[in-house]
Amino acid sequence: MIKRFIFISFLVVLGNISFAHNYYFSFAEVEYNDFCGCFESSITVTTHDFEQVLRKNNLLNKNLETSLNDYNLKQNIESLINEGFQITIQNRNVEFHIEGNEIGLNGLTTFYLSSNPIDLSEEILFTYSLLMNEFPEEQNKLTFIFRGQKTTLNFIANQFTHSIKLEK
Amino acid sequence: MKKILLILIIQLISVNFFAQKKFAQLDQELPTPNEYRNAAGAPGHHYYQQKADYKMNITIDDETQKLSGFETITYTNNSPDKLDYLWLQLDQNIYSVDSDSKIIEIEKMEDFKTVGDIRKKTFYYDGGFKIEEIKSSNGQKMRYFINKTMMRIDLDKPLLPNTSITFQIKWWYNINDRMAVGGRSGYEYFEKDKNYLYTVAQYFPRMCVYNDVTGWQNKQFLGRGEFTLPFGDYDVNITVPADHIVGATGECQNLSSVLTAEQRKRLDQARKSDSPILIVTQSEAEKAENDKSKQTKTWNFKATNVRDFAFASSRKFIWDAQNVAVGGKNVLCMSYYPKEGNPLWERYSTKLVAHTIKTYSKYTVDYPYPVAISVHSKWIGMEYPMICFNGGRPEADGTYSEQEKYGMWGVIIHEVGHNFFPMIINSDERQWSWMDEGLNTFVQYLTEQEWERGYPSRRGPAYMIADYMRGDKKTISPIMTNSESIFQFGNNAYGKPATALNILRETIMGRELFDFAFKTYCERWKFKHPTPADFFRTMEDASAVDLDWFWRGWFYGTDNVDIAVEEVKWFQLNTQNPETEKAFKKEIDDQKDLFIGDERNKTAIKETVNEKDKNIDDFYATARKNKYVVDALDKKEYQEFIAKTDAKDLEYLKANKHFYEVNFSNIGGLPMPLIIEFTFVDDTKQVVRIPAEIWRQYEDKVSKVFILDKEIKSLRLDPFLETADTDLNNNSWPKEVLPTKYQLFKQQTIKENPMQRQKRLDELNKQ
Repeated sequence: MIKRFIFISFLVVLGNISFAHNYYFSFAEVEYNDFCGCFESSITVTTHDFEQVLRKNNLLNKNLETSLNDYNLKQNIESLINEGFQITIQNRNVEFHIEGNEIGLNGLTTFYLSSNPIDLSEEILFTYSLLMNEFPEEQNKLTFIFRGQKTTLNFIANQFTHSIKLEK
Repeated sequence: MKKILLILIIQLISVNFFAQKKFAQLDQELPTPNEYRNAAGAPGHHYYQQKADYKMNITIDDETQKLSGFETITYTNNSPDKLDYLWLQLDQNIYSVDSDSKIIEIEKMEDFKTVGDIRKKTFYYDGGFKIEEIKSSNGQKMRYFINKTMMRIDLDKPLLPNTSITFQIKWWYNINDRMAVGGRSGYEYFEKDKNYLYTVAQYFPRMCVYNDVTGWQNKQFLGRGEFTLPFGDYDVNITVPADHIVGATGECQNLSSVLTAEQRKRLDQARKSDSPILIVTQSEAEKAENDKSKQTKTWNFKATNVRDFAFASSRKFIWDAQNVAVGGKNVLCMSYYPKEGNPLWERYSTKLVAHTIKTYSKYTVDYPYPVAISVHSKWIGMEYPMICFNGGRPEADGTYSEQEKYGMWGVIIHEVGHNFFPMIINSDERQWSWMDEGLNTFVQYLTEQEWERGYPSRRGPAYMIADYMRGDKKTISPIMTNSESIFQFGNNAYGKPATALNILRETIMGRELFDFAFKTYCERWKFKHPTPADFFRTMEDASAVDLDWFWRGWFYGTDNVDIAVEEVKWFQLNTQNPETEKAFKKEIDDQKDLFIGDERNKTAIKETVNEKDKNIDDFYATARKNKYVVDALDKKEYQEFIAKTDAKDLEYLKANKHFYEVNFSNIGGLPMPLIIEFTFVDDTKQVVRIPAEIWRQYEDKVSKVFILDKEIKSLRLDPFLETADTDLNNNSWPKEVLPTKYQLFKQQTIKENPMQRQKRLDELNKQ
């Protein structure tokens, strides 16, 4: 067995929130747009969970609703999403950019994302581990729409990647 | 295209020769009815439940954050069984160093990527009960054995039916720092003014439930599945620093010893007020924060017929109260909060408590207790009889987001609502989270909607559960799953059952039948221990609606709703009237697509031979040209047809009805009613509702013929989003593809936030 070094960062300590908690989910809807040759996506998270992760990473002081005009915060959120929500085609990761967001009064926040143009291949690999490092019970669900056909994939802590084969 | 219907008798779908599963009765799944729980879902004629009465002396040491207790439990065995031993719950042991809850936590190296993570993971806290002594009422030590979060007390003599035993326990434990360790209860330390706020629960050894369903319900407490407790009476002395304000389950018996005359006067005023009155003001609380009394005071509370006892204590508490009348009785609604909760808490908390008590009483049972309390406790939402601890804290500068406000409203309604489920209708939370969380979330939705029109409820409406229900079923649990094993706890135990009940109320049963049956369940099982079967059976028993298929699909299964419109065929009756039918035939022929060569030949060939030479066309050619002409023979035959046809049948033929055969497929597998909205060519609409039983024989595909007065332009399935259909793109004819969320976002033309818009409006108003 090879010993590995742990690279740790010195970030703010956040309390262990281990009370009965009933959120822990995010939903993504992804479509490949043939016209732009790019992916268009929405990701809906529970605001409470997302804020907690941002605070833990020292990225947020107040609440999301009043902080989202901050350019740096947006950049950091984009990085966080690109880390936990990846589409890989022929070993190339698709990079997403946040185009907008919507903070719902029902406790859900949706981010709207699009990617640079990328050619599809027969197989697409989805990695959707967003918030799973912080919340082991997180369950993410992705619906991929390709030429009108929908495929829904489930992601949990011990299975956060799925690949699908396209019938082009 | 319209087709002519030649057969007047329309046959609907034929009989299914295959065994049906989704509509099979639930007999196999439900326990056999007996004398304790009958087949109607009500308590049986020999129903019994145990009783546990507590007298306790509790002390909080504010210097060390240590709780010490001494309790005298009188346990009454109302069962027909003799009991050789008793089981008690030691919930604090979840914080013991060797707690199973820590050991069974799944971990990976990503969990240790920050110093904070490592500190949290290696955090040492000497938690758990320290039991000092257990003795009988005559002072004899009793034998006991602790198995993690459960403790067995062995009896010298069996406890016989209809007898009681009294014994005493002395214990202490270190109260958990809720901000560091987490937990449903504990303390919050306020660094700025160096004060503590205690929300105290699961702090004493509590009797387990013994009943006809589980025997002793002594399943270990792992953290998620909450509590199963017998009813009893409580008499509790709570000793805390003298400047603390204490709110607790029950009514304070010694107000004159713990409150000033002015505070008692304000409390009396609040008892008659229908809006909140401050009993302890913010300035009084702030003074106490600074003074920090070293004296102690003892508060005495009594509560009758409750399943638990919790309290909150702090010198930081602001306290307000108002009255609400329910079922001819007055309920004192109260809130306790530190100044950090304002301005949200002084404005909303007690009003929300009063509204919740009133609304839940309407849909369930009249609130039976004298008080209902909301305590502000950062981050959490947790419920106990008459008292609950709720989050919703503004920013340090006193501002708050709109989402925070709705979050606070929602958590208070939800946690106060738990007074009904499970505090009064006392289900087994350790086994079935949905029986309290799901039912409570459902009534929470009703309550929110009565608080504010269009309230943005998180759960309740059918369409909101669709995302959770679609996709691979390997990571979705049936609702009927033990609390600890559920994937996606929130959606499974809160969201899906609340949605299911909403669908029953709005779509399957209708409000009147549902509300009666639901209230019947609540009345039957108030102050008792219901099981899932009691709920399922009562809902059917009180409504005459066979819901076995619904329980099977929604509660025992993981199928989702995805019903598709596969095909639409249009027919009209052959009237036999040659004037009508030949004209129709011509119209159809004229609409037929024309081969391009024929189209071009219309002009390219100036004149054909038969057009030029009249002798070319024979009988057949002439007949073909005149095929749309109604001749005398046609008219005579029609008259003969009229003469021999019944007048009522003729009316049908003349009515010009439109017949549409629509084929549906059930892709998701969960049977649901078909709700179809027809849009006619004149843009009027008609909605047809077909019960889910249409799927009772053919579970995958069904067809239905709709006889309509007008021609339709389109039809749409589930137009009011009431069935939780997970794919709306296959619900329409002609096919209509709905935009994705991203596309909807891009379609939005308004690119400004509400404050920017207000600014523009203000500028416009100035002009």
